[in-house]
Amino acid sequence: MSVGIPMFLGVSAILFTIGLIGVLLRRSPLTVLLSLEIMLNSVNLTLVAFSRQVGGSDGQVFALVVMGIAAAEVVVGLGLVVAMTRRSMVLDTDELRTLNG
Amino acid sequence: MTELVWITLALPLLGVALLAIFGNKLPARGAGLLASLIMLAAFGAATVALILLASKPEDQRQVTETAWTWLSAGDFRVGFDIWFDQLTALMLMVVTGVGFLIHIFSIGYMKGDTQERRFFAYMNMFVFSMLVLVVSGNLVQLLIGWGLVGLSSYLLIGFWHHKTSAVKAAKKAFIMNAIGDVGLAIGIFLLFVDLGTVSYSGVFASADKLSETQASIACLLLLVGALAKSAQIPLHTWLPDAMEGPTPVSALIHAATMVTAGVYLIARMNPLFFYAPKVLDLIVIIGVVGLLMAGAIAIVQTDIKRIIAFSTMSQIAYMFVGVGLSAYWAGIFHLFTHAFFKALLFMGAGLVIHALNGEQDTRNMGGMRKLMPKTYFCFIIGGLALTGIFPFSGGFSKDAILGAALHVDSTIGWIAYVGGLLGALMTGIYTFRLIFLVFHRRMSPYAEKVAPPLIKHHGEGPSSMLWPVYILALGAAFLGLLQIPGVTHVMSSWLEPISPYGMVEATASQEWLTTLIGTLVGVIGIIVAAHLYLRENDAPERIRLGRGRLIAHALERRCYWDNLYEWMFERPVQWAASFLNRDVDATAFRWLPTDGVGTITAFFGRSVVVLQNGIVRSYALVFAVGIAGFLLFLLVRGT
Repeated sequence: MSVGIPMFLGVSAILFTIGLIGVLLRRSPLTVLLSLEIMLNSVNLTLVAFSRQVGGSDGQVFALVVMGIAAAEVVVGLGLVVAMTRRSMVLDTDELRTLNG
Repeated sequence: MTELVWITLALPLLGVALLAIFGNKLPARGAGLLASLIMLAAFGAATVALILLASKPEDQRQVTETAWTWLSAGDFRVGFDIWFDQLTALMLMVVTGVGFLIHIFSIGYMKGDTQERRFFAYMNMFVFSMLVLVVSGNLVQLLIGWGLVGLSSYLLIGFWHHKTSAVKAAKKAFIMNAIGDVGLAIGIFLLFVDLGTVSYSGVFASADKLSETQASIACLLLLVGALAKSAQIPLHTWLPDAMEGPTPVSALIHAATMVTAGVYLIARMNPLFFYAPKVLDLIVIIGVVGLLMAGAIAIVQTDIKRIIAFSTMSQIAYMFVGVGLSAYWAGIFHLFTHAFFKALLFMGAGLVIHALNGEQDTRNMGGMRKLMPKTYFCFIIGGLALTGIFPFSGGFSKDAILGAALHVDSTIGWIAYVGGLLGALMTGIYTFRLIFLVFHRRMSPYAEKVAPPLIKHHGEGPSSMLWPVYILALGAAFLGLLQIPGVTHVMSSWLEPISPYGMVEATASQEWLTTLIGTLVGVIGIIVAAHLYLRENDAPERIRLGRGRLIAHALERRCYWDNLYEWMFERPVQWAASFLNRDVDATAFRWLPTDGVGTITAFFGRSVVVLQNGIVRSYALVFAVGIAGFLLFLLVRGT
C-alpha cells in the first residue's frame, strides 16, 4: 500500500498542532523551544511531501534552508536560556515580562 | 590608465578609512601627514593618468569603464562608472593637486587642535566625494558625489561644533544644498522618463530627441543643483556663512572642490544644454547679476574671509557666464586658475589670522606688511591674479570669458561683456581694499599687541604653511601662460573635444583688446581702492553715511537675501506654528483639562497598552488565533 499525500499532510497537521499547543501551554523556555522545533519540522514534512508529489527538488531545498535557520534560531534560544540560568533567573516565560507596556 | 583613475579615487577613501579606524593610535601630527601623503599619491596617480591620456591620439581621449552594476532592469542600468576624458583629467588635477597643498597647509594650521584626526578624515572624505562626482560616468553616480560633497561640507563647516554660529552655518549650507540636490534629482528623473537612460553617453546620444521644452525643463532643474552647489543667486546665501569653518576648509570649498561642481556640471552636460539655448542665456544673466552683486557686497564687508568668500561667488559667476556663452573651455580655464589664486588668498588670509591669534576682522588688522613680507608678497600676486591684471593667470582666464562674450556679439554677449568689465572694476576695488586694510595703513591697537610677539616666536608660519603658499603663488602668476591669445592654446585645444557642437572662442585680436581693457579697468579699480583705503581717511565713512547710505545699507545687509528668506520661509512657519499652538490647540480643545492634542493622544495610548502585557504566550495565542481565523475565512470563501 502506497502512502498518499493526505497521510503526510495529516501527520504534519497533528505535529503542528502538538507543537502549537506546547508553545501556548508550556511555560518553560526549553519546552517552548522544543515545541517550536516540532512545528518547524511539521512544515518541513509538508514541504518535502509536496516536493515529492510535484517531482521537483525545490521544496526539499527549502526544507534544508528551514533546518539551517532553525538551527541558528535554537542556538540563540538556548544561549538565552543558558544566560538566564547563569543569572539565576526564573525559567518561566510568564514571569519574564519586563517588556510589558 | 583607467587603473590610475581608480587608484586616484580609492586613495582618499582609504585615507578616511585609516583615519577613522586607526586614528586614535596615530600621533596627532601623524594624521595630517598620512592624509597629506595620501593626497600626494592621488595627485601623482592623477598626473600620470593625465600624461597617459595626453599621449593618446586625440580621438581616443575619452575612456569609460564600469566597475560593477548597481541596478539593472530591462535596458536600464546604473553602474559605478568612470568617464575619463580631458575635462575629468583636468578636474582631477585641480582637486588632488590644490587639495594636496591645502592638506599640507592644514598640518600647520590645525596644529594644537584636539580634533586633528577627525579634521583630516573629513578633509579626505571631502576630496573623495568630489572625485566621485568628477569621475562619474552617469548621472546617478554624479548625484551620489553631489550629496557626499554636501555632507562633507556640512561636517567641515560645523567642525568647531561648540560654536553656535558654526553649527548654524553648517545647517544653512546643508539645507541650501539639499534644495539643489532635489532639483538635480528631479532633473535626472525627468531625463530618465524622457530618454530612458541616465548614462552620459546615452543622454548625449539621444539629446536631440528631446523637444526644446523638454530639454529646457531638464536643464533648468540641473541648473538648480548647479546654483546651490556653486553658490549663485538665488541659492548663494550659505557661502559667506560657511566662513565659520577652519580656514583650510574655506580654501578647499572655494578652490578645489564644491563650488566648482556647478560649473563642472554645466560644462559636462553641454551636449544637453546645447538644446536649451534659453537656459544658457539664463545662466549668463544669473552670472552677470551675481558677479556684480557679489563684487559690490565684497567692497563693504569687514571680515577678511567673508570678503574673499564674496569674491569667490563673483568669480564663479564669471565661470557661469563663460559656460553660459558656450565658451566651456574658458569657464573651465577660469575655474583652473581660480583654484590657484583663491587657495592662495585663503591661505594668505589663514597666515594673517594665525598671526593675529584667530582675529578675522579687518578693522583689527593693518600694517601687517612689515611683519609678514612673504605673505604680503604672495597675497599681492594672488590679488593681481584675481583682479585680472595682464600677465597674471586670472587675467588670461577672465579675458578669455569676456573675449568670448565679445565674440558672441548678441544682446546677451554685450550684457556679459559690459557686466564683466564692471565686475572687473569692482574686483580691483575690493581686492586691493582688502590688501590695503590688512597690510598697509597704520597697525590697529589689537594687531600691535598680538602680532609682534607671535611672529617673533615662530615667524610668519611653519614651513608647512608657507611652502604651499609659494607653490600656489607660482601657479597664480604663471598658469595663464598656458593660453596666451594667438600664441599658446593649451587649454582651448585640450578642452575643445568635450563639446561635440563646438565652443565659442574669441579671435586673438578680440582677446588682446579685452585684455587691454580688462587690465585698464582693473588698474582703475586698484587706483580707486588706493585713493579710498591706502591711507586713513574718512572718505569711505563719509560716503557710507552720506550720499551712498542706502546702497551701503543694502550691501552691508548682503542685498537683503537673508531677510527675504526669513520673511518667505522662517516667519510663515513660525506664525503657523504659533497659530496652531495658541489658537487651534487652546480654543478647539478647550474642554480638555490641559494641552488638548497631548491629552487625546495619551488617552488612546493608555487604552491599547493592555495588549502589551509582556507574556510571550499571549502573543503566540494572538498569532495562532489570527492565522486560524484567516485560514477559516479563506475556507469559507472557498478560494
